[in-house]
Amino acid sequence: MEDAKKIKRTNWIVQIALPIIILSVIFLLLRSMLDNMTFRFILACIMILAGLMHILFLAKTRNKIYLIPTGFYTFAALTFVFATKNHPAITILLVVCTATLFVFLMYTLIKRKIKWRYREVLELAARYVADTGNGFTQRPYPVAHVTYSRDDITRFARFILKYGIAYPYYEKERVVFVIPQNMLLHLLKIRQNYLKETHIIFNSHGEVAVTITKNDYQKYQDELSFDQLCAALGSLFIDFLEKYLNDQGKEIIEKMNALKFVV
Amino acid sequence: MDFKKVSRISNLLSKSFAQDFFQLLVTYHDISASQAASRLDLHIKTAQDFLEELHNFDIVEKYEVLEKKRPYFRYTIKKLKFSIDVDLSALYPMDNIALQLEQKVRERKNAEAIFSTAEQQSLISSITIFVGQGRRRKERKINLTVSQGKFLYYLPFPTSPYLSIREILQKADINESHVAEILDIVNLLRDFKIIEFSN
Repeated sequence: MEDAKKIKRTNWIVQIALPIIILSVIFLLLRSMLDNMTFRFILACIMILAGLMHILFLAKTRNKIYLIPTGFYTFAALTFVFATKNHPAITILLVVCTATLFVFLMYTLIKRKIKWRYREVLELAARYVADTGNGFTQRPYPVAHVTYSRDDITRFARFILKYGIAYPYYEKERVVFVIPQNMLLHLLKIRQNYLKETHIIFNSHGEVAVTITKNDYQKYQDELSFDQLCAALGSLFIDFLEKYLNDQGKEIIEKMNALKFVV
Repeated sequence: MDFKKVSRISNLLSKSFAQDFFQLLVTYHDISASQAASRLDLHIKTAQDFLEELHNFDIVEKYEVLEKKRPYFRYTIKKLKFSIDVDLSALYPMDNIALQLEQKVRERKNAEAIFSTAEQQSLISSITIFVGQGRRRKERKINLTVSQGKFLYYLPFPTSPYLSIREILQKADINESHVAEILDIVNLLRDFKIIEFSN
């Protein structure tokens, strides 16, 4: 596994510790303020919402791995509602199912089977860039002409979404691969405008163009040569497309997993 | 006739009283500014300026007369017919186009402009330029033609090597007949410090 070389390191306090602390405080406050039944009902509602969200991910990405979190949240919700001292058999069954699914969920998370690959994509693109020198522009960078059919690019787009690498938008003459910092906003259709996010366009004439936003450019430790960075990101996706069309899709995922990124 | 001269004469002819004034000039053998002003109910200065402009364009003739030792001018029509010849090709200098096409350009670093990409197409649809600073800062949006948009799409990035305008035209597959409009936007963006030229 490799650590981040080009992209700025994650702020663990902000990204991990702070949300855990805030959630724990809310949890403890609710526990002390509410009676047992209400508290369990609220937790069950949260679990149902999380489960529904994962059903949506499952439907959108067609990645069966989302069955594990869906199952976990569903059983967790049932446990909070139905697990009582009056029904020990049901309680044991639900707790065992929830615990088993929790173990599976942890396994998928550790093995990075469920992960949005935003930082990995930015890191991999930057590894091809050696020169520095700020030359940021929000214009798109025409990378290359590639040969592919509409069917090729559509299948590739499904694969890319399945593994959380990018969010594809299908347009009449092109497919746009958005690299969002928050994939959830696109999956839930809260954000549908990709122009303010880093994206790669594959059009029907085989032209590939890349746009990198200032926000994403500032995520790098150095001011990398901007044209080279755009070219590298475009080349990375062209390489992914070639690998996918040659039935080497697994290599793409292995390449991503080789990076030691947790968030 | 150069364009400024055409503008001046057109401005003269477009005055609300122009037709009545010319009618007066062709009717009378000669007329003074005060006579014309009183006849048309104009201010004497307006009539004087109008006649002086006609004289500058050689449409009327003027001569000085003395009345009770006070000199003044009288005007008489010189041409009953005149034409305005506008040559628009003079506005488009073709002579150094070849030289201009060899100039190497690229986007300037930290250019204060927003490039808007066209939906569904590989071209820039408009460019928003910021002029001035602080409270006086204004934005100016320029909508681009398709060929201009294609040209700016392929314009080298600030850290890329310079390319000649001709090379960019080839890369963007732009027809030679659009060269003039490309040079126009290049020169405009150079003035706004968005495009830089190689020395």
